[in-house]
Amino acid sequence: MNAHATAAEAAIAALADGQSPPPWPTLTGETQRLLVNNRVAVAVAAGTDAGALDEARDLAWVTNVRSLASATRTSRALAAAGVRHVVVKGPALGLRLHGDAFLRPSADVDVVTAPKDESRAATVLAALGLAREAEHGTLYWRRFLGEAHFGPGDGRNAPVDLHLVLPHPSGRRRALASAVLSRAVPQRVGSTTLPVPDPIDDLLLHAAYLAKSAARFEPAGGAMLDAAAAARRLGPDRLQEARRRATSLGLSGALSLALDPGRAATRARLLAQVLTGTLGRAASAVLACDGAGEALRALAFEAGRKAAQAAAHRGWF
Amino acid sequence: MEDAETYARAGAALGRLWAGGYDLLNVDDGTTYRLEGTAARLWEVLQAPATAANLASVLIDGFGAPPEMAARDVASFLSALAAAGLVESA
Repeated sequence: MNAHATAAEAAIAALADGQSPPPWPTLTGETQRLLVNNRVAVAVAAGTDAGALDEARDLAWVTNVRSLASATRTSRALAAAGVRHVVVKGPALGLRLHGDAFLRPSADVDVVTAPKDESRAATVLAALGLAREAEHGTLYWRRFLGEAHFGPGDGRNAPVDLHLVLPHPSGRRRALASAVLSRAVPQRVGSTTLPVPDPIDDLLLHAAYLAKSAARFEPAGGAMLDAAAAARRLGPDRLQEARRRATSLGLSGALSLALDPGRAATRARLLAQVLTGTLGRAASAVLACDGAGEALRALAFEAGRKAAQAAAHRGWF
Repeated sequence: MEDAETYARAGAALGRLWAGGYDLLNVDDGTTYRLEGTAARLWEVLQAPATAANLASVLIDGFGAPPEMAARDVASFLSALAAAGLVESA
């Protein structure tokens, strides 16, 4: 048995005993690079060191065991309190899109709820031992990141990210979160039924994540893969319905990117060669928007985000 | 366990393949397990519903196990995994 497998076993045993999983610094630099850049699949083709890949997969196992248990526990508690919610991203997404709950590591649980249910959701999370982290009450987190982290996690509970809005090429939209909530469908995970986005919303959400990643020059391999898998689940009729929904939600440009990742990658590469920094990010955001009005919103949002981020770092509000 | 009874992976069982076998999780109670060697091979067979006799034949044909030992080991395997909530009657 190699050292990686031993480390994973030790981590699993720690989690089973209610202790925290191993800290990130125990991972090799190569593994961190693979995980952070969402490049595991590319690394396989490129012949990356097998030990680093094993370590990355071991980490996905260890983190997702906890994340899955936390997702089902959190969702059951929210449902019992009558808090309407959907679980997005994470191992449940990997399971329904790729048939693999351990494809990528998931350190937390992402839950979307309506603003009117926020305080009740916070009460439920408090009963699970999770409290809103102080800095996540700032304008930057609430308005521009649109989420709050509830922690601390431990060996049993993963932290929970509570989202009131969802990413959109023009900024963040409550309308998108409301639409996803209103159309939630059940996903069986063991004996628990998790409310999750319906198949068309899964595609639109990942189109939005892809547009966000492209706009920020962030690694987008995971979002591309998820969008492709979500699109493959839809037949021609449902894909047509996805296009209609995308139009009504201002996501036509983002959906086009998701359905043609080759064009998206080429454009991103060309953009990166001529425009960098804030200007490049703004240009990329504009390209994913539906029309001039949305593009202006994107620019205003980006400017506001930068200002709020600076203010939050200075502890102003 | 009846010979004619068929068994399948339980809905609560999630897993991953690794170089030495399978790691399994009972998602309902959060318990993890590791299967190696012949147990990992039997788990692969359970991807589709199978009888105890089907499973025993894998041990006999693939590993040269004597029939009585194969039947006993399969019964023990199914009993342990059923208790862990990882297999169920199909």
